[in-house]
Amino acid sequence: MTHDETTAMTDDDLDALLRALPSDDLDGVRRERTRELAQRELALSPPHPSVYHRVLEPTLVAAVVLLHLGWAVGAVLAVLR
Amino acid sequence: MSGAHDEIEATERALVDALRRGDRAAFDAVYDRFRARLFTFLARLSGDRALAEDLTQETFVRLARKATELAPDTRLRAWLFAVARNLHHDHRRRRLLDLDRLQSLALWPEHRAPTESPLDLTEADETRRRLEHALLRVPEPMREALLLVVVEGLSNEEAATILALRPDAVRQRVSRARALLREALEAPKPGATLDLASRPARTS
Repeated sequence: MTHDETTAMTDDDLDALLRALPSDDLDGVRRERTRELAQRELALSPPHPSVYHRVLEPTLVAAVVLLHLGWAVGAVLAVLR
Repeated sequence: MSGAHDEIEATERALVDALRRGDRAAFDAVYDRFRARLFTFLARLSGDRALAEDLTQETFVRLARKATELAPDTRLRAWLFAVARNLHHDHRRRRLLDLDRLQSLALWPEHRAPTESPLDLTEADETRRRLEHALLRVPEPMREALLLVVVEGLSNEEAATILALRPDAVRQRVSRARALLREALEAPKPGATLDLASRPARTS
């Protein structure tokens, strides 16, 4: 690549050269070690909470609490009468 | 082009869905799909193979830890490059890199297309070597934009998300990076003979 060639190079030419650069990779041992390490972490990570755990369970708990509160208030009112 | 892009997006969405379930095979697929690209990106960003290896590993460990918490609409490629880039920035904040030392490292050991003739091989290797060295001379903010947009093929919008910039700013950085890269390619090679005649005369 001469000085003139570099100066005359368009953006597209330069981009093509950059895209043609070879990619590299981890060596075999490091590749497998990294995979194992990450897979171990994946096995330890808690599963994504389901719709039941995110929505239904809190709703049910809130409903039961409200129901008990209602009964308690009702019982107090009944005694007061 | 758009069809291929849609296909890539659909594949990534399926991978994200599977990762959210903690699917080990999906993780392997992501690892095989992005490992070399992330490693190459990090090596070109840092100029340090050993550091790039460590940061690639850390990126995938982060993915493994966060896999089940990913949002369903996560753009996997952008997510991974953002994590890799941020890890590199964190590292840089902790330790100032010695550019001279990095430039002297042989980054790309053996990557040759088997169909090239010996002459093509020499010319191609020389061009690649010069380009890799020239890339390292482009300041990092410009270089990372260039690598993401031109080499990785991310859109300006995706790169803007990763770099925490506006798409216009990304466009400007890429344009500036190209100009600086041209300048760096025109500059004399490192180790070239010094032009002693142009140096000021020594006075005693």
